[in-house]
Amino acid sequence: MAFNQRSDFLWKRQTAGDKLFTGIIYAALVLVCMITLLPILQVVTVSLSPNDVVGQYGLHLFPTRISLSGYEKVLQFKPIWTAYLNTIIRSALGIVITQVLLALGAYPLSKKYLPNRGFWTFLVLLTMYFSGGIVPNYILITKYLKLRNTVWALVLPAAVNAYTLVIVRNFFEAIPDSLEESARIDGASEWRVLTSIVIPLSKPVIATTALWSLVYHWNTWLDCMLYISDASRYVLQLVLRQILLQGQLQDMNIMTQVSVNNDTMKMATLVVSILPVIVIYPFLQKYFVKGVMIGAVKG
Amino acid sequence: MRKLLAVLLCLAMILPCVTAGAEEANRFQDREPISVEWLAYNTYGQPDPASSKVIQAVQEKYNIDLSFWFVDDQQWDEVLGVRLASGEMPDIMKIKNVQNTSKYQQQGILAEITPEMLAKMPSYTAAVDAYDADDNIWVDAMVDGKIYALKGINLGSSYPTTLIWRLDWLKNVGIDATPVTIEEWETALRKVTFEDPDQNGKNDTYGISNTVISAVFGAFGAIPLKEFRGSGTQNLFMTKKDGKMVFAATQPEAKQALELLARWYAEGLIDPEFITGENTGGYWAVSQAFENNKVAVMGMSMANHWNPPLVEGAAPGACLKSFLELHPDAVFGETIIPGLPPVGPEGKSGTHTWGVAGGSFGITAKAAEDPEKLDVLLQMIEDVFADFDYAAMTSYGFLEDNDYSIIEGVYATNPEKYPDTAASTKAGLNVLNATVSNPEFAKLFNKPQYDFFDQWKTTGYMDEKYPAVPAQDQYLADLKTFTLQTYVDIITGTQSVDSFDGFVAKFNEQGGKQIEDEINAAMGL
Repeated sequence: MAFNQRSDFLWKRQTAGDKLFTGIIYAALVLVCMITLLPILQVVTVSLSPNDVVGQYGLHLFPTRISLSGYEKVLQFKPIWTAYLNTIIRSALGIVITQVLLALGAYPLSKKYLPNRGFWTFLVLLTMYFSGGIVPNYILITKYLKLRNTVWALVLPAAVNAYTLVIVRNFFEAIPDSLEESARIDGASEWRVLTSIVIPLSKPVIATTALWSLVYHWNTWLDCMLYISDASRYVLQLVLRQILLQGQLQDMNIMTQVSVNNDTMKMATLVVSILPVIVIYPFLQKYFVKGVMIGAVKG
Repeated sequence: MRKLLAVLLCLAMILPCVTAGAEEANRFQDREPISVEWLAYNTYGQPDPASSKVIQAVQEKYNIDLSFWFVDDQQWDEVLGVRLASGEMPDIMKIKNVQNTSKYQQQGILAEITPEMLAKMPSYTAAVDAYDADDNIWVDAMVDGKIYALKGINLGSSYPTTLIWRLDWLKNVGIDATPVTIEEWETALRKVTFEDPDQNGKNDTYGISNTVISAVFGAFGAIPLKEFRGSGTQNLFMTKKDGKMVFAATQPEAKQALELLARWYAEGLIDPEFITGENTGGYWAVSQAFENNKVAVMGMSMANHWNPPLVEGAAPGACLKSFLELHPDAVFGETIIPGLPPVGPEGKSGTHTWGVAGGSFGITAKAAEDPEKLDVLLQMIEDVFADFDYAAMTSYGFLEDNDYSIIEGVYATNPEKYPDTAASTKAGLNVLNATVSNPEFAKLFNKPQYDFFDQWKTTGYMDEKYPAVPAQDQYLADLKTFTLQTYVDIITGTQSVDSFDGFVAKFNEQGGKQIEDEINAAMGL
């Protein structure tokens, strides 16, 4: 009740110009919401509709008739589930490795007493401007590191991102020195400071960067296509991609029987694949905003 | 079971001494197994040697270990480019885009197909000679007068693409048969546009959309582009004039067609959304505009995409199947029917035809270095053309395993075991035949299908083949965009039809003429 009165009060205090401004902001937000939500509604509806409804023109925002045939097909399609597991393994491994390396990398860089700190930071930043490109990367991973057909080829190349490292470093820098000093007076080593003081205070940035890792590992497929040749090790997005693109290859070998997955199944696969990220996101969201903000302000 | 196996193995050991054909098997069995890296297939899915009996049988027959490259079809050049640039290569590979043949040759990836190599494949070369009526099958496989790729022969694609009419619509507006001449077409299109052929009380229909436009060009003598939409891959087609190759897009007959199309568009006979294409998802030959009662006629698909089940238990063609989902009561021959391409004032007509030449595939430099490997690869191709049983096995699998059935002479893949092409590719079907087949065998595999094809065969314009030349890499991409833009502007009335002459001059200036000159020089015309 108190809140309502307050907002009411604020609204009345606004001039016509303020109201117009607020109106425009609301309109813009609604527009952004629609741009984001309409495709999702379309995908979910198509995944729930029988094929003859899907074939009709126009938007499919709300199901008119429900059919679960798409989901039934997905449930029976084994490669999706193998790939699902591979993606989960890859994401979990990727997140753990990334977080460990980020913490270990960002901590020294955040210390003013690190010798040649400017030089080390410069080295890290350099990778943001120059990269070897895809072919040298490929040669490095397959010929020298011999990681072909292993999950390491998917996890190690992207383990540390310079931009993320800088954000974590900035977050660490923002932690008051006095906290560390008090720990040191009690006899804590650098390691103890990192694990007992810095990391517990850095939950927002850890949650944020972990979510970034998760989204990256969940959505990437090109590296899998390049480095993995064993179909049982494919990640979800690659299998999804194959399902989605089926039927678009214009081949003229017409004596082969043609049979492609219908859009219902394609969209059902899509829904199944984005579900975990959608479920996890709300739990991390409170950290997410804070983490990005702090990194940004100090950066 | 084991005893049976033992007997079979004994037989397998004895037989080589008796039969001549098995002498060949000996030739491979005497040496160590060779590893072969295979990319000569359509990558609908990834073949799995561990679970595929077909692959295992082929490995045994030739004493090889097969491994398969999987390259995403939609990212072919990017992904394959990285792997090739890093120095890796398969032993035998599909050349998805024939215009890359010269690039691969310069990069040292493709081995020359020498006359000696062709001589080792007598059945293959005989089939090519028999079906290559225009004597041009090798044109786009050649670089500097030497052959660098093998060509498939595709009997099905030698048939023109088909125009499919809504016969029920035509009848509703008082027309009994599909139109033939361009005047009859115009009358029919006008009626189906304005006289409410679907009887829903709304003026919401059009005559044609994107996929029929090429047939209208055909009525005037040449097809410049396969499709007239903003997305997708496009090739600028060439045509022969006075013995020289020229771009069809710049010929005066294209102007005549554009004039007619601009008039039809202004009158409202053409779907204004033609520029976004008719296929919005699913199988590529399906037209959602046609299925959703928007247009009266569609092109691009083949006759056999529309065949009703030809034998009992068989599936209807892919487009008919999709059409039936929205029109469950539709009957082939009553609701829909193939029609003839419009016949122009000079009696010309035809739809786009892919041509008998199938895709290209090449043997790589790596494979050519090893005489034993080369020997195996050539024999594998030869056997697809010479040995009916081997061809059937590599295309369809094993009859006793229920991979396929033969109903009234039609070889049909088991739809339950292989619900889609990803599944059949995984099982190794249509993989180790390098996607090629002997046309004579193809007829045996599916006679009713070819009878159906013959029944609905129309006139067509086959893609003129031409060698890749350097000027293409430099100019062609821009010329394609420029042509499509100008054509769409003229059809929709943004530019006048007379601006066509300016377009031709600019087209030639911007490299069009140079490409034509280089192609004619390369072909010795």
